[in-house]
Amino acid sequence: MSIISDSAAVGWASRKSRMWILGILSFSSICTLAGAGLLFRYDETAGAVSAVPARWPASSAIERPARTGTLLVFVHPYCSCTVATLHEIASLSAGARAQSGQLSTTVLFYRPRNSGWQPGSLWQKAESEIPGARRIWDDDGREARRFGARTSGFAVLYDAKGDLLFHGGVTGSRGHEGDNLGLDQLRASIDTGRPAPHTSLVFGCALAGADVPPIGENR
Amino acid sequence: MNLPEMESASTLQGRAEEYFKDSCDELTILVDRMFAWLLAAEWVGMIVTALVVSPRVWSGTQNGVHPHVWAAVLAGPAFIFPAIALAIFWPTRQITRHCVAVAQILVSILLIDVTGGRIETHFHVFGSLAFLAFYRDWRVLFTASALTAVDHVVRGIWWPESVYGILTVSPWRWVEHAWWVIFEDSFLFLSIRRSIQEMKAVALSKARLYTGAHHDVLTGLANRRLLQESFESRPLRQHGAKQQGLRQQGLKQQGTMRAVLFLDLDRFKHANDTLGHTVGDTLLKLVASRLATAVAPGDTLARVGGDEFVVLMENLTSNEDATEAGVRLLNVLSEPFFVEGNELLLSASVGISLYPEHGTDLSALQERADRAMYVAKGRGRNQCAVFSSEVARHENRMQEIGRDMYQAQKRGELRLYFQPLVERDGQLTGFEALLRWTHPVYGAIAPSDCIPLAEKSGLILAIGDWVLREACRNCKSWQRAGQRPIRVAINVSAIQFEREDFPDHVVSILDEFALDPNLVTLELTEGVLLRNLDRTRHQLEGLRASGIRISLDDFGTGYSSLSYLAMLPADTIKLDRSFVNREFANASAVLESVIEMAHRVGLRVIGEGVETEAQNDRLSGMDCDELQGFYFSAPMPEEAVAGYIALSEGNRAVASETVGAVG
Repeated sequence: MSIISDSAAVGWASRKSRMWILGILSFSSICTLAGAGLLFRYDETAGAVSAVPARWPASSAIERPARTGTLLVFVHPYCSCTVATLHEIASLSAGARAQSGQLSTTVLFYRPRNSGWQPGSLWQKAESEIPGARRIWDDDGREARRFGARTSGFAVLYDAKGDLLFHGGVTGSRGHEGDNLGLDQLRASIDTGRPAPHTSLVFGCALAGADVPPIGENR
Repeated sequence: MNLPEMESASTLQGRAEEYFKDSCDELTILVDRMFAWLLAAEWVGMIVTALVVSPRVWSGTQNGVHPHVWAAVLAGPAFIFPAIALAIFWPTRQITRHCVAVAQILVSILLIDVTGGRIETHFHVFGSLAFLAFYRDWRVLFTASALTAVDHVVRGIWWPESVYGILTVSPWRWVEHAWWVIFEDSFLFLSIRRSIQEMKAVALSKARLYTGAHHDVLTGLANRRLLQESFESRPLRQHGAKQQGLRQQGLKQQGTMRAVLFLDLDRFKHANDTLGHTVGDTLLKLVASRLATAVAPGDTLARVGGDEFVVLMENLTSNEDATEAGVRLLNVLSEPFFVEGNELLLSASVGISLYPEHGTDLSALQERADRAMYVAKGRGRNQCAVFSSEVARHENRMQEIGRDMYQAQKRGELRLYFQPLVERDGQLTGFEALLRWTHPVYGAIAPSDCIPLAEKSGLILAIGDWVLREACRNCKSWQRAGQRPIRVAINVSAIQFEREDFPDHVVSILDEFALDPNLVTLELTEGVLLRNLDRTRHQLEGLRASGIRISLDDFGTGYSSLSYLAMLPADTIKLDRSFVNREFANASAVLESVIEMAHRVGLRVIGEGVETEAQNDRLSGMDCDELQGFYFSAPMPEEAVAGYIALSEGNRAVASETVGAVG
């Protein structure tokens, strides 16, 4: 069925040309494979996670409803990878239990001191895509440190009693939407009220930078 | 192109494949260019997408360019640019197509990654496969599909969420994805196959058109157009743009002289007229087949007219090569042809011209070879003649003779000679009137030269009338001198015979001389008689009703079925000299059969061209009724006829006395 072989009309290039072409293609292949490896490694490298309190921290300034579970999502306001997290949370919020008011969602946007950061596209997205979600600034990442969040896209779920049900990421990799283990476990915890059996990885930008240690470590 | 150009199914197929390949190459170049543009556009689009979707990466307050942007930018030099370069500078190659396919799929993979695995961007893969199908090369699709499969398998194993999602994670999920790829590829393969079939059909049609335009329909040989193209293409390939002055010497040294051989079948028209066009066509096919066997590979054999063939010879080392080739052509025609139960003997005349000696363009070479061919015919046919200054002089002479012929009759340069016709016992029965022209400069002009000129110029009617009158006048005078009636045989040309009033015209001339029609025999060749059988029969019946006798001349040179002998109202047949003289297997048996058959249908037989005693004895022994030839007497002027008659009468008287004395 193949119609074309190397054109006899054009003829083979000289041996020298062929060597050049093969050399370039070999170099190209090596670069492509190396680049792909680095890229996938970057995409697949999870962000840092600190110890997450098993009970709702008393020092937290965030108001926790007494009758419903509370989902906190920590977001770097300029992390494009976290768009995927917000989409996943949005799909989760559309679920039956969330719709029935048994889940309170709060999105905390990290804001360094004196940065002057203003609400951006992620803020708008959280407003438009996650109905009923509260959006608050987490100045200097204080709440993030309380809840062990070091990477944008980190989510924690506490039940009405303040017990930890889930913590981790809800995307399969950096910026990738789609079914993944974290989202699956979070959905299950919301629906059943039972703790998730595994911690899921978080993929996103670092919230406070590597130089800012978590609260637990300060102690 | 393989020559000799005798078109066959395999040649047609070969040409169709050439066209197909050309079409494929043209198409592939277009697709290569399309992909060059497409890949360039995709690269720019990918960078823009990366900048829009994930421009920067953050770590607290610090930020930098997102690795996705770097990946999109570096994809250019890594694999997009090489593919573009190959598509532009190395089109139509397999490796180019495969590199383009790999680049397309890598762009798809990267684009999916950059956009966060959006399902919409997955369609880029299918779009790429569809575009790659333009190559009509299933191997390219295989490469693209294989790369996609490898990507899915590898990532499916190490990073399943990025490909299949967590809900359906299974180590065998890649099988389902592979199936979808196979499913889509199957449609593409079928599409490619259909497309290829269409291209092949188009190529075959083009090949047929080419064949129709470049080959003779009847014989499959090259036609004038292909001959011209062969002539024009060879020097360009072989000699380049050498200067004309250096060419001749250079060609001889390299053994790359060329020759044009113009071959004309002798008396083919006669065969065609007498045996019918179906037999004539079959004969031409057989001739073409035989000639093809005598033509060297690389030479071009073409049919350029009804019974005219041209061979364009390449790579000659000497003039003799051309002559040898001409002889080879004549030799392959010397064996009898068998067509629909007829055994046909053919001969041909070959004229040769040489390149660049006799011309540098085909028309000039062909025209000179044609002229040389006529020289070969004039020399008695079945031979080769190379164009030369002698040929040119001969032609000039013939042109001059043609002009002088208008005055020949008035100036009294035409004369009739008479050759005796005798019975087996030597008894004189009559004379055949033979035209002779004594040119004031060139002397005696042979009838084979002057009759065609007269026919060509239309003078044949006036000359024919003159011959008729002169023959009748002489015959009348013989009756007065002799003791018994002496007949005269007069040759009639086709143009004379085609006159509607020819029988009446002849009768009026006989009346003019008060000559007994029984003493006049009109000799017509088979070709003349069988041009229009019904009309001929009508004319002949008119002549015979007047008492004029009809003789079929040159019998044995044509191909008329003996059944015509019974159909046509003739009185005698005249065996041609070549038929009488030719030595071939069972010659005597053939002659004997012809004579016997003629006798059975009531025809007398005259043996012409008897030159030896042996021929005389042989024909006499076969009951040939009358004989004619140099053995008895050369043609003589009218002044000598009376003496010959007297001598013949004297011999007869002596013979009678001897018989009486013995009795």
